[in-house]
Amino acid sequence: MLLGYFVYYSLFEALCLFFELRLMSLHALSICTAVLMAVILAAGILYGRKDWAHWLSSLGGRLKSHGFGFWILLAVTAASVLIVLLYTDASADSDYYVGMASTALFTDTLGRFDPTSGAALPVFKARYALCCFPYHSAVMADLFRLPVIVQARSVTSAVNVLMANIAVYRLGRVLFTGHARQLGKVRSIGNSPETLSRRAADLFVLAVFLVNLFSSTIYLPGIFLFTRAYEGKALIANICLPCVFGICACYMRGNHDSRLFRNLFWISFAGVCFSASSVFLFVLSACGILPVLLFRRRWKDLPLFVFACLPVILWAGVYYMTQHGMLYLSAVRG
Amino acid sequence: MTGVTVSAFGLRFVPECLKVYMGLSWPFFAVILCGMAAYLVFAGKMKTVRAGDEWPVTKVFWLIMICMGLTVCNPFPVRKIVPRFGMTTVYYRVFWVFPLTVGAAYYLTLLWTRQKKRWLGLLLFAICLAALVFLVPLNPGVENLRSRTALPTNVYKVDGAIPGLCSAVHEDYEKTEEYAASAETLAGADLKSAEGAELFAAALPRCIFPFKLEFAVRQYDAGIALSFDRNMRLYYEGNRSTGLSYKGNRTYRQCALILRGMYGLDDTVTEKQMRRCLKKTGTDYLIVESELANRLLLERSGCELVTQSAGYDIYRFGLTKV
Repeated sequence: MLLGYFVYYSLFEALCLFFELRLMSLHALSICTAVLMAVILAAGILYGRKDWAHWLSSLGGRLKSHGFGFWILLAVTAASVLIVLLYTDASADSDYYVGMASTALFTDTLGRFDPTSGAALPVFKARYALCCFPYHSAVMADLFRLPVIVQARSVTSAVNVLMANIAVYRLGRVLFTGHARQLGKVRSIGNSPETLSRRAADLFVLAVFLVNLFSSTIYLPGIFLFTRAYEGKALIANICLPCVFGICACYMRGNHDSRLFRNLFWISFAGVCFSASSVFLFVLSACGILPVLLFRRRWKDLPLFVFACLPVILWAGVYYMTQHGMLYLSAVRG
Repeated sequence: MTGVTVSAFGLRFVPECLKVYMGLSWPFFAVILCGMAAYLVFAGKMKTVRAGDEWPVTKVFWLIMICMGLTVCNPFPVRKIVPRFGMTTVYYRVFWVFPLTVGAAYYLTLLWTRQKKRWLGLLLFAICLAALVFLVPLNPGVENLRSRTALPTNVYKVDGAIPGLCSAVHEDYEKTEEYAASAETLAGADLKSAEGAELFAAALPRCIFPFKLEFAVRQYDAGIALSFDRNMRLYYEGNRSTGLSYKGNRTYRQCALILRGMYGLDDTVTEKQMRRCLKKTGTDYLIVESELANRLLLERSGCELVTQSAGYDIYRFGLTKV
């Protein structure tokens, strides 16, 4: 599910950028997104139905293995969603990010008007225009006929905080994989490695929730998660960076599967969609993977690493060129 | 980070930023540092620890910390690079790279789950929870919810006055000659051309709202244009977090004069100046708190009171009623 989330936003970024730079309308983007997603869903049902059926049939057993941890997960997730649904953010940043969506929907354009004043823009503001996440709310509002402010501030926030909890749980499963092995012999299903790993991950989700709940400054990721979950920055800090950390941990443990780099690629791509802060994904992966790669002399992983970071590198290149007048992204024709 | 600049702190910029970033949540940093140090010590002495699954994770924490210390958090290059990239105000995001939340939670979970006696794990959990409650302040967002200052009053999560004010502005604007004229001009305009886009933007009622409402207006209703853009308004209100200065900006000076005039903050503002600035900025409506409005100056400047709604006065300027 988590990988699907990243792939979804990566595809959306590619599609939206094309429509934006070609000065096409938001409504056309909405239709195209809907068609693309319908095709992907149909393909998923066609090719993955056996996996889905297996996943559903084993759901009961897996939930049972969580024990009391399931209720912890449920309570933590419900509390997180409740906080973001109830919180009213009056920050200046919301003016930009929610304003981008409402302006796009009102004008049926993408990035061609200043969201904070409504003035026409001669050139795209690269820092914002290249990160298409806010337009997703406009597309959803267009497709489902919802007020865009409700979609952006409530629906998107709730979905994002759910995904953040799923990301933390998955990270917990990665970090506590071998935890059970050291606790003793497996005597029953109750202390099988799988079960104990799940229970440790449940507690990990609770611990992350508590750390976020007691994050007392406005700079820590916790405040972004609970009060500004509609912003791409919050997704970088609370979903993408923990996932990249999980990949770093796997690589350090000696898992050199190329799928790690494939996952890193999708996280980087979705990160570009979310926010300009996606450069920090590159910094983290460079700090956590590159030294290990060099120390273990796994040179064949180097091109994979570069490829995985390519979306962020490309974004940074385009941004640099626009800032230094080497590239001109015109928001008007002629 | 407001107030923490390279010019003021020099080589102490990074530690100062870290201090502000952590604030009173420093115990989490202490937890992760203790966890990392403990595993480093035990891994050196015990083979079982080195063979365990926690040691590689701890190694990643150490690796990230060392790499960050040498690069993005190294005070020497940071002192030169950060101001050049205009990152002074957002440097705190660099600290996101070090997984503080995840790390603190990881070592706390290990503390709770690695006990052979279950009751001991529960006891440690209770102690940690009590320490958090008594030592660390709540997340400011949650604190605002607890004190009911951040609870929404409507489904849009905006100030309750905004829907009514926006409707009143549109209702009045649609009865003006300018609206009828712009509707005709826009009928054949190509929004993809610079002229078409500018015509479209000019056809919207341009307003100045009180600071309390300004940022939420266009989120709720993008059919209203604003004379100030976000950064300009922040600058006017004394917020320097964007790192931009509008002192020499003509539009800013004109908008600032209007605000000073409509609130009666500056006695030297004359009707003539007010009229000129309203015309130059293309401002059509002024929305001001009823009890704070400088009515005399507004009326002498040619502004007409349209209506009063939810404690606010709406003034119209330069539009002709049909």
